[in-house]
Amino acid sequence: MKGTYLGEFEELVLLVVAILNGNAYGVTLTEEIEAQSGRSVSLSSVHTALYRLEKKGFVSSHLGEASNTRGGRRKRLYAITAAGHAALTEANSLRNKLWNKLPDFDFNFNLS
Amino acid sequence: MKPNQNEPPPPSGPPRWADRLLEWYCSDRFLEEVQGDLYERYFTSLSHNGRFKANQQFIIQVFRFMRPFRMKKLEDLIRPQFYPDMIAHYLKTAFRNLKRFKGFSFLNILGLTLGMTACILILRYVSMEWSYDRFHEKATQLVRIHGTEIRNGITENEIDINTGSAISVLLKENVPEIELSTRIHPWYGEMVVTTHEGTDNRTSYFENNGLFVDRDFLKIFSFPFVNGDPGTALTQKDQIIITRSIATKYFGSSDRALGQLIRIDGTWAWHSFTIVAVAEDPPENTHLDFDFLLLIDHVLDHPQYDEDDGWGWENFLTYAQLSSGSEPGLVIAKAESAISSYLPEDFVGDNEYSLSFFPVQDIHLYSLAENELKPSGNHEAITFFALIALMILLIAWINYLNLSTSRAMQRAVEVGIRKTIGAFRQQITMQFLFESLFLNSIALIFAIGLSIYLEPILSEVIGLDLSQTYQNNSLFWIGFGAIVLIGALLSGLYPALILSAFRPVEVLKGLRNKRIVGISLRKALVVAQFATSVALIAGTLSVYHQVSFMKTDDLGMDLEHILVVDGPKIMPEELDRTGRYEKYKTFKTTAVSIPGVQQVSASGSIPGGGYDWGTELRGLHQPPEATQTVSIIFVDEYFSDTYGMELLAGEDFDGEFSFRPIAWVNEKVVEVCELGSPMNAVGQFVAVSGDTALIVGVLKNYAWNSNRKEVPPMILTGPDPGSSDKFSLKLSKGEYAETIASIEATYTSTFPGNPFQYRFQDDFFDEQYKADQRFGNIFSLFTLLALIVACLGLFGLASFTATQRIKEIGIRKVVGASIGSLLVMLSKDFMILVALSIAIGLAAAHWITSSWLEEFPKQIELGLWFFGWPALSVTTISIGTIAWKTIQTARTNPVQALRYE
Repeated sequence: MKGTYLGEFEELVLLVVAILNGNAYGVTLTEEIEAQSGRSVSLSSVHTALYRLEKKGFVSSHLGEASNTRGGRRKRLYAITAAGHAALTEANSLRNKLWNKLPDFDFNFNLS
Repeated sequence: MKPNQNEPPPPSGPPRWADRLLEWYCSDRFLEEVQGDLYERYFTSLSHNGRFKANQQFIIQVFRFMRPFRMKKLEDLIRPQFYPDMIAHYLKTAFRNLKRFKGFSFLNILGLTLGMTACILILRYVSMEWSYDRFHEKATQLVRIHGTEIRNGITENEIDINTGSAISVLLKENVPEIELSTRIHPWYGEMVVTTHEGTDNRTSYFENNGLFVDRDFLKIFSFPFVNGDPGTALTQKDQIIITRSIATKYFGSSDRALGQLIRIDGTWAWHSFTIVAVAEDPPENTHLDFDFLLLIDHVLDHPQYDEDDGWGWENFLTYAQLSSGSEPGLVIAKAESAISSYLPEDFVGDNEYSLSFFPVQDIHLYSLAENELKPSGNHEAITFFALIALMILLIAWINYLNLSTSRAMQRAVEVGIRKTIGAFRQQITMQFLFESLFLNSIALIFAIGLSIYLEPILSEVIGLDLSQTYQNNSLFWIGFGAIVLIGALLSGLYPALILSAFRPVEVLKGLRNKRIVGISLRKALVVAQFATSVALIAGTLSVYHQVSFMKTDDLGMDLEHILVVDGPKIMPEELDRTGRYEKYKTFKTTAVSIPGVQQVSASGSIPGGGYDWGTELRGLHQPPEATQTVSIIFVDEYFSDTYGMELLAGEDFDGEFSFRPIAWVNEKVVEVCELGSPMNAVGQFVAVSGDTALIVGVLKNYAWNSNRKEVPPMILTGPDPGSSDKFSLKLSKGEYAETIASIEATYTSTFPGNPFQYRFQDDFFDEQYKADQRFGNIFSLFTLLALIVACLGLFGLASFTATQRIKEIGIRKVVGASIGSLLVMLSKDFMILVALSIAIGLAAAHWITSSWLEEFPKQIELGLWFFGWPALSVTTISIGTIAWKTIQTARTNPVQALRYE
């Protein structure tokens, strides 16, 4: 299982790839993550995460069209794979399972 | 993956240096997407945050993208040049192009095939000449020992390969590095071999190809055996080894020959021998030749040598096998000191006897001696031939290059499309290089097949049987293969580069490449090819003229209609010298009375057949340093008459020779002994081999050894009956059959038991020219090939030009030009080229031929034929070639030509 572990940021990126379905590439992903999470995310870390995800087989990619604003360069579009989908589901179910095991207590902490 | 420049870039971009930094470190795999994303973000940021902020972000990002996995690795720096997966596709394309342009492809392959075949055949010959004596097991350790006498500071007999008989044994015993040694003494003369003696099948043959050898001979030289045991084969005096052909000739097969007895009668032996082994016929590529091998003891025990101290008679070839790794120089020094104590008395003092070792492997090509057992090759000529072979190949490749480049336009559209769908220039170059290799391979396969087929013809042309050689030169042919590979690649490179440079846009739009690439190079090449052909034609003619001149020029004697009959070897035992002499006289008297026989003479040797005795000559008043070598022939009183020699002064051969030392010398003797005029010379004495001889007559110079060489000093002198080896009978012109039959009858009745063998003197004499004729034959072969190749080149050039000018031709035809005038117009350019090449070729030929002719004492003059024929033939051929193509073009329907848009 080592090497197929989904890191927190990677999970985030993977989710957004699935959300953006068809329009997921570096720039759009970064913007969406920033919009959704409110934290500032660097383009380079997103690219790196995408590279790792692709290596693990959770995403697939292809080169899309070029555009003028990109200086005529094509963009690499990513899509989630079945394996990626499975990984997300597994991570989610693990979390849910743990959540369900939490004892019922309220989160209002008393100082004492 | 550079960006497509089909839309103008946005007005301003990110900081150039940072961008370039990115391009520098980032691997091609990621560069495009990363850079693209960065650009996109940049422009977004630019409009939101302003330039400064945008720049700042960009720069930071460039640095943040620096991660190990994104950096350029080795494979990014080396772009693969060749994609092996493409081979199948290239092959298909190559095939289709072959079929599409059948004529052109055929020409190309034909030219290459011819060039390669020529090269292969010539190199086959060359490699054979280089392979002499390499098949012996210890070939590199074998040497022949030559001795040079230095008396009173004068070096004598410099190029004498013969030594005395003592050296071989002495050296083997006293010098440890000389492991084995042997002497070789050829039979020097005819012997009669009789088989099935005492039975009804008794047959006699004349043979002269035998060697007397020491026991080590079979160990030193690796001549394979058919049967018998090489180890014990030559251990006893009555043993003999024969070769396979002899065995078959005498007994029908080698197996039947084993153990048989044969009797030999001749100078050195008069008894029977047992065949203990049959050896394979010696191959062509050795300098030794033999049909029989006998022990040298027979020679050593012979009266001629038995009182020799081993230093006097230098008629032996001495060979030795040195121990491996020994240093020849050191061994020579040891050898010289070893023999110094055994040198005969007259050597001691200021005189030296120095030895030299000549590697056996080098004998054939490098020996300058004239009396080798087989005619030697000439290493210069062979190297020359090898170079010519490579040159022919080079010319073939140049033709290929020419033709391919001139047809480049045909593939232009293909190249354009390939580039459009994404091929790199290098890939296209690779493709065309591959096609070139492909074509070359096809040509090579045909060439190999063709040369195998032609090998027997080659054997005939050069007069040597190529199949009868022992060769292991896989190294040589691997080298040749490498040369072919390199040549194919190089010759394909230029067209490949040109083709791959086509710009797709221009090509696909239909713009024709107006530049005619390298036309001057091609013209120069055609000139070179024709100049070579011209030179070769002139050269071939020269060789033939020189040879026929030498054959027909005045020899100082008349060799026509002379029948040479080998003298008898088997004589009744009770006859002594005088008795035998009487027998010869009987034969001569009877023979001359046969109608049809004009004159009969007996001699030791005949013109073209060597000498009886070679020894020292000096005028009496001359100092010792002026000593020359003179060749002596023993003749009878009818000799000069039979051969039509001219007497300049003195008496003619008289009837009664007594055995006094008298000499008939030739003019050359008078000259070198400084005796004045021929008239003066008569009556004087000369020193010959320690004795003095009286000159009784002076003969006009005669070319005993053909006009190929300088006339040597020669002496004809009184008969030595023991040497009446040959009868020369001058016949009158007419039907010889009857005359010969009568002569045979006389011979067999006078000399019973002896086989009757004859030949015609002029045929025999002409064999002197064999080497030159062979040279001439090879030359004409080259010439033919060079011409064909040159024509192909010219044809290619002509067809290219014709295609270029097809519109022009069409218009002219419409306007009313005749085919003739079109022909003239199109040929003009080429005729200038041809004229130029004739001039160059003739100049070169003249220079080379003149230097070649200098080696002959009598030379032909290079007259009109030398210049006229080559020029004429080349002009005719080139006009024919051009005409063919131009007529073809001129005949095309102008409508078709003009529609070609």
